[in-house]
Amino acid sequence: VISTSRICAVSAAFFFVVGVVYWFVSYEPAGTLMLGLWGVAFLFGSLFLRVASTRGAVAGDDPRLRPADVAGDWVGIFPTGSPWPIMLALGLTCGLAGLMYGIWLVIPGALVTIVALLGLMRESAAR
Amino acid sequence: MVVQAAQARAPFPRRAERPAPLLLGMVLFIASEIIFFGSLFAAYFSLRSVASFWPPPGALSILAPTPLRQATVASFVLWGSSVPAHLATLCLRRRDVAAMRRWILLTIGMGIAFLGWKFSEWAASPFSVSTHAYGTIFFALTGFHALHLLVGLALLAGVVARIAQGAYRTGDLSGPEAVVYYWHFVDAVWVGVFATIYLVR
Repeated sequence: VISTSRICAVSAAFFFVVGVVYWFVSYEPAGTLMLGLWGVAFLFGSLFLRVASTRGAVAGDDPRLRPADVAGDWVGIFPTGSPWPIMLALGLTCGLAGLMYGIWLVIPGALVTIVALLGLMRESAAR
Repeated sequence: MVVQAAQARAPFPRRAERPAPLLLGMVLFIASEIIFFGSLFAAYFSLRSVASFWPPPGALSILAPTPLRQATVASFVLWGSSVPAHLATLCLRRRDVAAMRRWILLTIGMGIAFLGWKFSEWAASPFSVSTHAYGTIFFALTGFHALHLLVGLALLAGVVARIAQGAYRTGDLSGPEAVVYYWHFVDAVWVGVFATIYLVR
């Protein structure tokens, strides 16, 4: 957790520095804002992990342990295959393209999205 | 060596002490959403930097004193809804599910009140999404925020429905906590949208 937090913090610092450099090179607000928000996003992840590490830790936080020592440690249950992510992508693509091309795409897109979300939820609830 | 390995394993946390995967997933999702809204803000400022008149003269009526006052009040209702949402999580940790349900219903009510104002503002707006670039980015920013708010309301309603089924009295609490994280995010994004459209312009 702590290593991940540090990686996020370094990434955030990188984007803040690049954002400042970009501003003084270009004086262009849109790109500066985007770079700054990339920094904010990574900083947010880093801070959450930092807070989470005060409440608990995972085996990887202990420098005395080698990967072999933590083999078999419980991580979670992941499905080996699932049709729902690709259905979700299809539904969202249809639904959002429909915002440009017409309501006849939005409705099936929204329906497929909802079905895919419910499918994902049922899959994770069934574990 | 065997003894050392056993000692090394001793400080292993129990599963409950780890960051809940669902909360971590929600935090990463929110981080990606920051980027998503960032691209909309970037589009706003990019268009603004090349426009001769911003906002265009026909769009100024939504920024007149009375609509602006209504927007401010509605915004404070939305930001205020983070308070009952947070109180709900405090009740949840005490396993006071009845009190939690009341705070979530209040949060939902405040969210609906905000959406009601948003729809009335859209209905009264003198321009549409295709009138000019300002209209496009105005409806894109506020529309995507309202869409996120609708999703947040659906998630909160889902938590209320789960309470009715007797959930959360024991066991994992990360589901409703993740929903409240999302709600705080939707409120926080409105700070940016409000500042961009109504203050910075």
